[in-house]
Amino acid sequence: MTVPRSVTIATVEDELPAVTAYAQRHDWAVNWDTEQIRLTFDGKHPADATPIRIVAAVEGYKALPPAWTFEDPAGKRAIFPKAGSVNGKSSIFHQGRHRICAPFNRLAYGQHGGPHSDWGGPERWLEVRGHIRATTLANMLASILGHLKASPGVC
Amino acid sequence: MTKDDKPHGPPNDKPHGPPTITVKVYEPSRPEPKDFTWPKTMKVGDAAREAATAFGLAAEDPTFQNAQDEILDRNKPLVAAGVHDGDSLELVSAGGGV
Repeated sequence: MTVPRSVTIATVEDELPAVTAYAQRHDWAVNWDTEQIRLTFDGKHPADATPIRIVAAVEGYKALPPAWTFEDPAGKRAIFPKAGSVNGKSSIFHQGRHRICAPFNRLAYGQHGGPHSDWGGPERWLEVRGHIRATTLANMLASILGHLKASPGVC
Repeated sequence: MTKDDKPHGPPNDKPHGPPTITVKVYEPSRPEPKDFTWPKTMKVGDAAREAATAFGLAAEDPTFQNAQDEILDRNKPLVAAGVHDGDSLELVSAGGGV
């Protein structure tokens, strides 16, 4: 499914004020790179203050969900949060595969190397029910930060 | 009125404050928050569902996230979940990963 680059940029920029406002309320710095078509959020892991960057590669958004990953802002190592239970529910952080396992992450789907071949494919991400649900960039970031808060540190 | 004439009635709740909490709720994808006043003993999940309805959302399992990013337990009363008068909360999904 191909979404013109201009459409993706317009869609993201329509959501940008809200996700920026949310990020600022929670002390994360936002950068929107229209060349690479990716959003980054820089902050610190709440458990140990490790600098951490949350990345949303948004090609094809919103016909497809973003590809969410974590980066070391210094670029020196691979980084991923350890899983921590949230009110008795499993973390969305899959330590073994270094994937955010949520329907709003393209990389969670089997077609993109993720563990989920049971969600109908990334094209149907908005139809997945019974799991954590976030359908806007701001909602997705909120869900990720909520699970990051329960994470005991980074791998 | 003397001390002995003091009327009977509900116990003075001043030491614990009023029985309600007024909070500001953001739906992360919308710019403007909404104010809500709820009983302190109202369950987080019930309050979140009411907030979701007010924002026009049909959320499956809504809950709140506080300013420290914690996702609140839907089954706890607001006061037990640490919600205080004047807090700002975010409406989020309570779902977990798999």
